[in-house]
Amino acid sequence: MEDTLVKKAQKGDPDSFVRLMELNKNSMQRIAYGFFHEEEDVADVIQDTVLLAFEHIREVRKTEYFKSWLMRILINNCRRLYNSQKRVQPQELTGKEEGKRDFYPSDNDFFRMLSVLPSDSRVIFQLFYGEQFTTKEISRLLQMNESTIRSKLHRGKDQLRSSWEMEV
Amino acid sequence: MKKLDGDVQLNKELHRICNLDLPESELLRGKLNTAYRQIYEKAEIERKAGERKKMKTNRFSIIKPAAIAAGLMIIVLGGVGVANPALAAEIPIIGKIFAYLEEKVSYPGNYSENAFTVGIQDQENVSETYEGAENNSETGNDVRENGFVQSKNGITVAVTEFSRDNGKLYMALRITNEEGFPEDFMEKRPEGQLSHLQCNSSAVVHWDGKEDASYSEGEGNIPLYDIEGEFQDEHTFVGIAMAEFDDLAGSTGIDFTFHSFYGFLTSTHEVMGHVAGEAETFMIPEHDMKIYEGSWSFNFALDAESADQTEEIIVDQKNGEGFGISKVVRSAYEITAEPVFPEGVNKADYIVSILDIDGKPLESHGGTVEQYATYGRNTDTVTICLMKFETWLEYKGENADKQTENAVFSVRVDLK
Repeated sequence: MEDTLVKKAQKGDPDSFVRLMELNKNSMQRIAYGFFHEEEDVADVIQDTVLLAFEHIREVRKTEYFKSWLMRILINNCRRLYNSQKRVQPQELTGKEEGKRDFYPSDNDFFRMLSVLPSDSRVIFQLFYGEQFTTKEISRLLQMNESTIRSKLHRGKDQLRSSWEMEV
Repeated sequence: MKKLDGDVQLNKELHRICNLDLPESELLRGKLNTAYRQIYEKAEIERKAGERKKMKTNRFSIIKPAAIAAGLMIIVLGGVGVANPALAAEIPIIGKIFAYLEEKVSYPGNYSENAFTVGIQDQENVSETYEGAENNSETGNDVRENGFVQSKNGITVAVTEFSRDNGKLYMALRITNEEGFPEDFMEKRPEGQLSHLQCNSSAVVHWDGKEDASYSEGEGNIPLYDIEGEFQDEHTFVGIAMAEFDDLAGSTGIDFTFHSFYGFLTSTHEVMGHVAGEAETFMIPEHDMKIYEGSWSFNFALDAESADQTEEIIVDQKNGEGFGISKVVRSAYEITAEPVFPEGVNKADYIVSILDIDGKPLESHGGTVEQYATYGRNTDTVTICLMKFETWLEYKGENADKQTENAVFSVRVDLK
């Protein structure tokens, strides 16, 4: 179905485009929360991404590239906003400050997971486990070495394993 | 201390968590709705500006027109002259392309009943017109000129019928390809959907006592770029082409040229791309194209004095706020209404909807969204609703019966 919606959206059908965005809204939220914990920031980058995607959807040559293309736009928008807020880029952080937790808008397993992970690993986890991208695709999306991606996944899993074992 | 049972269980748990639906905040919903509103507005503005501008993207290579074949004075009767009789004999709908496709195209109309033969000679004289037609096979281009059939580079284009209406020229086309069209052109389409063949075209419209009007890619107004139809087999495409012009009223003739035909293949090559405003680039695949260069030229002689079945009804009504309708124009295939606005209003915020005699909204006639098709509908009496665009979105489809009461202005008009 998403293939059909992409093709129709490329022909200028706004209904199909809106449906496409609604289908991908959860994915975009989860990725954006990998960068921010404020609802307003997440809503802003998703809005920007939707508008930019509509403007450029005809550049998607094959429908199977659509999700990757959309995530790329979102990640770029997240980075732009993150940098404009004058924080260090996530991939440059080596870890969280000891004892500090990020506060997310609600308390569920997803946000609890994000709270445990270092900020430079959150987006990687979402892209790998949530969106099912390969480490190679993630390295292209985030412009990081594939070995760095694998190492962050490994380290993040260790931290989560330890945290969950402690909670039991 | 309880341990998690290995990596497999952890991976499963991570997969579950990373696919959880997150609660949607009012803030996010509000921002999304704002974005969607802008998108609908932009989509409508683009339609109103004319979809031909859509062609001007990097996806389409600039095709330089081949030398135009000597212009032919051809008269189209609704009969068929065929360069390759053997191929024609296998096609079941010779001369009936309008009747076969007129209901299926996105710009429906009873073209078969109104196939104009304006200012033409009768069938008997047709062959005399083409006596001594040149055959340039010595040049290697294999141009066979046979009236309303043109062949070049293995592609034969036959105009089997034509009609015109209020600024549009409709052509029933049969395009045959000696080598066969690529399989990718003939991808299986869902039930009810037609195939498309793209083209590059140009035209010159002639009048008596008035300057010719030119339409071409170079002038930013390609008259036709997409033909809807069917691939009958790998060698044959039949379709109805709708070429758009600013005005054809009183015109004496149209010189129309197809410069090339083309379509996209599933094979790709890599090009460097980037998202607008971003310095970062990434390699993206771009589809290969199969292009058939021509050109194929036809001249449609029109009788300037003949009626083109267009009626114009002056309405000239408005409400106390200054919203209203000035006139309704109905031609053989479509109907439009001209709105009136108070000063200072953004016209793009509004849209004209037209309901038939039963109060059902008409469908778009394939051009701009406010040109409505009359095909299969009784438009002897219509209701014109001038609406805020957002309101129209709410009252499309099954809620359309509420359009009149939610319009900023509405009026019932008799066209009989």
